[in-house]
Amino acid sequence: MQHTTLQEVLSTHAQDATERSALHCWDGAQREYVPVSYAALSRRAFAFGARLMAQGTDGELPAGSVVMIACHSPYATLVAFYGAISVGAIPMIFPMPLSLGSHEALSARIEHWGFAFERPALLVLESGLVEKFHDDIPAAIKTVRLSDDPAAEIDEQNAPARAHQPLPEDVAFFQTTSSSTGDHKAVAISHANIIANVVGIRHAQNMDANERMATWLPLFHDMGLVGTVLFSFCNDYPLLIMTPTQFVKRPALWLKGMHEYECTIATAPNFGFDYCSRLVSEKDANEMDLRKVKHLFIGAEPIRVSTVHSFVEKFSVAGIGPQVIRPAYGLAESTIITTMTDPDKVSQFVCLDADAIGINEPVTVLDQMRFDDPRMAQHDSAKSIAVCTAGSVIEGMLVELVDEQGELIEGEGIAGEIAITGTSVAMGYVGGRENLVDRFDQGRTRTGDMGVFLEGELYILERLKNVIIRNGENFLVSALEEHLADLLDISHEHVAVFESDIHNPDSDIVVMVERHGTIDEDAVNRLLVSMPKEAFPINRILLSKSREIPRTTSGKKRHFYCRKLYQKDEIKHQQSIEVSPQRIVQAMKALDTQA
Amino acid sequence: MNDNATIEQRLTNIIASKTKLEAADIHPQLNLEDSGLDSFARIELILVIEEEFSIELSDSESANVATIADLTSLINEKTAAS
Repeated sequence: MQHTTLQEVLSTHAQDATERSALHCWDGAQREYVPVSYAALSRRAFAFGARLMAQGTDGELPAGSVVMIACHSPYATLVAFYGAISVGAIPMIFPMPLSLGSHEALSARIEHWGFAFERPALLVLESGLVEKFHDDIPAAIKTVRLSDDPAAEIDEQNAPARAHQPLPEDVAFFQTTSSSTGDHKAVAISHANIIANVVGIRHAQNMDANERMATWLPLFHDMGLVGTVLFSFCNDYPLLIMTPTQFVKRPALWLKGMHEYECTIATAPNFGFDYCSRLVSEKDANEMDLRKVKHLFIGAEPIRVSTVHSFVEKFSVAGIGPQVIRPAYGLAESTIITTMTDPDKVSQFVCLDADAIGINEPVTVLDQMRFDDPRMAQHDSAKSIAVCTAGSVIEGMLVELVDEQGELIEGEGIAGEIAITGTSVAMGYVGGRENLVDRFDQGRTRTGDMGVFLEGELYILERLKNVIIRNGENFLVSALEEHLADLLDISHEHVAVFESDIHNPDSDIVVMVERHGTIDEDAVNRLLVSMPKEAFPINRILLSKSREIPRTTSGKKRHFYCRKLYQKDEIKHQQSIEVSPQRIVQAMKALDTQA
Repeated sequence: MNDNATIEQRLTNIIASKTKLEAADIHPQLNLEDSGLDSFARIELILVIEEEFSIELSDSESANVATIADLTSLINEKTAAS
């Protein structure tokens, strides 16, 4: 049966007596996966939905109420998420302090979103977190506790607590789009968006009914939530799940789980594959059999050719071949997936002349090779950039390239900003009290990514939007700049934050600060001291004279050109400060002495 | 036997090696969120601590320890229980 809403998917699972598929949650203490069938998960979600309903006035939570979810455990997060959906509430999953850098950052989110709507949002917290946040949560925000233990006794019920059948075009959930300090941006995803994307992915990949998945991705991230968890839930695929922290501690567990449960699909950003290549031992790789794996989807951040090469080289002994490495492109604004590579052929990359990349400019292809090309390891050259294919557009979607004025660019090989329309394009950005959703103009979203079509496949070239992507997480540059400017007590117009190389996830994140007048040493020290509390690792601060940040004629900062200048060592600056723990402590001491 | 002073000393050594801070700058009230480590490095630090003390810290426990003193108490509790 083709479902049209997540509510229908939940009801189907809840009534499934076979309990065929399950969410398998990694228990770090017991060193084993604890299964919870999708049937039990759905029935627990229905029971939790009843608890949410009880928080409303006279036991009636109005449909469209927002439910904020702040839980470490994927299990608790999903009981709360599906529970909210089951009663027509709108769930919104928050990153946790280990991702955000501090508890204060989570408290700030709770305070912002808690009062952003007509009614105060509810807050779901894992039991262990309640005391930690007790004093920080405003009294007007009601909290609901939830156990993080899948094996704990918990109520189940067979039907949703509200006889509410959402329409496919109704909001299903809110997806936050950035992890940066102080940024409060989210998109509204409808039930129809989710179903369209799930169907589009499955059809594009010729998947059957017997796939199995494994993930460690965070559920506040679209790739983790939609691309993995909702995808497996809607398709009734078993899913092994661990937290990002568990993965970072022991990356081999992800792959060992895939070996043990004969998984066929996994999804991760470049970071995950790179991390496994570096940290999983040869012994572990030798003991794994990953020949069942059909698709290793890689996306969410720029894909490095060297990562693909190292991963295949390391795990070829386990049966991983270059044909299973499957680049894809998408973003929260398109629910998740927009383009995917063809499952029947080996993906490829092109080497492009780096100096010839610009909007409405033809790209110059210097070389191209497939992931199984023996020359792959030696591709790199100082003059070119290697860009992996992102594949072809999935069904129901249309990708166009536009120039800076939004005019359509036609013809292959000419770069432009990627604009997307179609069934998976989200409803719009989350508004507030007046307007719950600010809809995208004509259902189209301009991505802020520069791309080019070559032989019908999309290649992502540059990032025009001011976003920094690290470990698959997005940090909105404008919010970072405002925050840093506040610390320096100057206007955000005089601060530019940029990555030194968007194709290298280990490259420096640089803050360029224009000295408009003078910046006293204390301000710089305050900024340095604040660094550890931030989720983004800034590596270098450049202090320059005024008007050194490259700008457009209308005065907008050009981060793309900052990057180009930095790469050529042509940014004019007076002082360069490397951000390190020693330098931070030095700053702390200086401030303490003053105090 | 792990008393708090011994645990604290071992923690100080681990944190000094991860952060390159001087041992004199590491004290019980030092907040890990102020230690100069980004979120990724903090997870790596937790892993080293787990291996040093042969314990497992959940995500929730890892996030809830603010200071070195908190961490010392948690390790004491965990090692006593094991």
